[in-house]
Amino acid sequence: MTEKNNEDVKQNNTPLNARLEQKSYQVLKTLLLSEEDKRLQQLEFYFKSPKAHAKKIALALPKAIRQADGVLLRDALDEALHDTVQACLVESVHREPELYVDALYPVILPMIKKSIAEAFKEVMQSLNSAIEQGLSINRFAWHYQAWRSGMPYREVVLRNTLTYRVEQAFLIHRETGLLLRHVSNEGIDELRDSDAVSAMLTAIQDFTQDSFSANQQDKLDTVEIGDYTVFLDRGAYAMLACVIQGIPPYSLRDHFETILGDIHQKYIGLLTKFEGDNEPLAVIDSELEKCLLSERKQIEDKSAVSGKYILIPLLLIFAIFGYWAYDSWLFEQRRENYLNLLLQYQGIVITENNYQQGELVIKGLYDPLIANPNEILKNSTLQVDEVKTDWQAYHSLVPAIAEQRLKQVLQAPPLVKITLKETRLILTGVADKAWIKNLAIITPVLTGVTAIEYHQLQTYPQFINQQLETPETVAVFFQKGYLQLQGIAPIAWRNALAKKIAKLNFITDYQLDKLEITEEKQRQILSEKLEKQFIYFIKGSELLETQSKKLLNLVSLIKETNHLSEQLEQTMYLIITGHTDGLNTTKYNTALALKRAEKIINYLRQQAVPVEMIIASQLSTIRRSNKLQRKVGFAVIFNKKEKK
Amino acid sequence: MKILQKKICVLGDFGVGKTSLVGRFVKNEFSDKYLTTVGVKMDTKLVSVNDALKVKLIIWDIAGENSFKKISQTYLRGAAGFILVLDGTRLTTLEAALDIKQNIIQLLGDIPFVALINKVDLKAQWEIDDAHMARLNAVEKQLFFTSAKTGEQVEEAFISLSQFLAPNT
Repeated sequence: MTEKNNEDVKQNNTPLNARLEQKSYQVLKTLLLSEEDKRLQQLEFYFKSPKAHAKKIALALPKAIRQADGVLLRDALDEALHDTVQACLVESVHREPELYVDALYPVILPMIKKSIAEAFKEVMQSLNSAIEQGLSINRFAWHYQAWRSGMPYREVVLRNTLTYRVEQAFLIHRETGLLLRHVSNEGIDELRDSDAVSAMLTAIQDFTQDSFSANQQDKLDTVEIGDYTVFLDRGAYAMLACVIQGIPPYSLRDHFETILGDIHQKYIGLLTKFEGDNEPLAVIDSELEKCLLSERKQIEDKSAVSGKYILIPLLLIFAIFGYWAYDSWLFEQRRENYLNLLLQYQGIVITENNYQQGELVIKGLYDPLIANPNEILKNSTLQVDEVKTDWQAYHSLVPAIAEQRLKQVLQAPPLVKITLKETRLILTGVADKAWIKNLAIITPVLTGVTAIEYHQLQTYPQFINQQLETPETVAVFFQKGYLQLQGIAPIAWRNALAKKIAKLNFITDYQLDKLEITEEKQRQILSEKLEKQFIYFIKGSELLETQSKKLLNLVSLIKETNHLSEQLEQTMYLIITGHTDGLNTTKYNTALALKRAEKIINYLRQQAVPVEMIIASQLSTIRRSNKLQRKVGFAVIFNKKEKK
Repeated sequence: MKILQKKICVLGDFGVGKTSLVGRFVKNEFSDKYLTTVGVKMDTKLVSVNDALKVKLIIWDIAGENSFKKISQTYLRGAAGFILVLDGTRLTTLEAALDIKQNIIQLLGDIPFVALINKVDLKAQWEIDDAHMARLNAVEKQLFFTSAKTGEQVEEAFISLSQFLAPNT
């Protein structure tokens, strides 16, 4: 039908009837497009009439928003609505706050309750810690820290006691309770079966929730086991369980929540796709490790710093005190040194030895005869300006000192010994006659002496006689150290003399020339007598009969002389001279003289005379018979014995 | 080698021997006291499915109750499969098992399961026969006659469930 009409229109289309044609077109248009036109008019009405338009959009808008589920579309929508919605909210809250209070009441009330409960818990924790630590030495350090930093003490205690360590973190799939990831702090033993732990944690929280709460919003969020606390936090897909040793601060929970939020944001794709294979989730580990905090280290650092602040003044005080103590000790050592030096002298009496207004004061008496304490001070380690001294001179009556003083006053010779028996002065030893004479005059003037006794005093000659055991035959002369001995004495005494004199050191020189030796004198007499002896012969070499007694005397004379020579340490030589008269020839006479001498020698040898004998001959020049010339004569020579 | 973790639940009437069966299969990690307090006991076991895949079974051994309604349903959440345990000597345990199975399908969908008719060592005393077993609607690989006492068929049952849990690739 429609095709036929179209053909008709084409056939009747002539320029002559253009108007008619126009009208026909209008009719045709109306016939053909009346339905569409009606709809167009309706649409126009909708668009031009806000009320109708709004009604349509109101129907479409919720659908449109719901369908904007692609990420890009959603973002665009969020962005577009953000400002308007915000403004609306602000306006609305401003206008009708009661409405929002009523609406939010069921949400806010549990939040406030929870917040208050946690604040209370924190206060209780800090209170407990404060009580626990209240009596420890930490308290003093904390008081100092609080004073230094201006923080309340309670806060300082809190900061110092909140030591904790997050040892392990479990990321658990909420739906299945399967372990997504598990990280642990260094040095923490791996759990035997973290998968089972993960499942058990899930079961426990399900159990507690089912058992104790009807409200789906109530979740188990803390598990405490001895020293350990487990914080549980939940996201849409995963639950975070952190095992903490020590006392965790509640701020830690916020930290965990942030980490869990970050994990959800970054890895939402992985979490939603999880079907039991947790290897792809290993990328979460780095995020999860952020949970493994420890506060102990920070506190140690802080305490180290504060420790230094305490330590420096403490050390300074200690050093000052130490120096002061050491210095005092040294001063005491010097003081002791001076006092010890003073105590060595009997004539020094210390009457005061103490500190007056911080200054060392030493007072006392001293005997000028003994020592001057101020001179002693110069020789001690104590400095002159370190001590205030006051020394008064006095005469000590201590016997030793009194004796010394008397000796000084009396100008006693070195060999005089002074003894004081109470007030009685006793003098012994050796002194000059003149000095001894003077004593009687001086004595009354002496301090502390009432009587003097000096009968035991000897003069020098008396003392020398005694010391040298001088024989009565020897006289002693002594003056000003010069000794002279006169007289005669045996050789033995004479020989021992030098040693004896040397012992008497007051003798400076001596003279022994006038001292004769007894043995020498005797020998001289004997040898003179011997040299006057002659033995006479008859004729030739025949002795006169009368000569035998004479010979015996001769032998004893020689032996006696020799004995004295031995004592004098001398060798005696006996010269035996044969004499003849002048009647015969010289030759004959010489031989005869020697023969006579030999005869005597032989005799003497028979008598065992122990002397060296020398033969000599002397001939008479007078040629006549003279019987007095027929003889043998003697002479002696003495020689010092050679020492072997 | 890929390892997949899978949560499975062991369910069944009171006294059918669930815990003993799991004890047979795994080395016990947890004391039984958890079972009495929390009502669930955890064990894990790594099972090789093939050369490229292992399944780590996280076994939730849930305390038996007469009625499924008393079992904490939250414990079942997220389970990938389950083990239904019956006591061959008690017919009532079949009713409980069917009740459990039906409820799980309602709750979690048609997830894999194996049924274990326990106490095969007391076969002579069995009240459950083949006709009863047919009601479980279990194919050959889903039905095992086990003994927690001797260990018979226990491992096979767990391995079979693991194979069901492995993705078909």
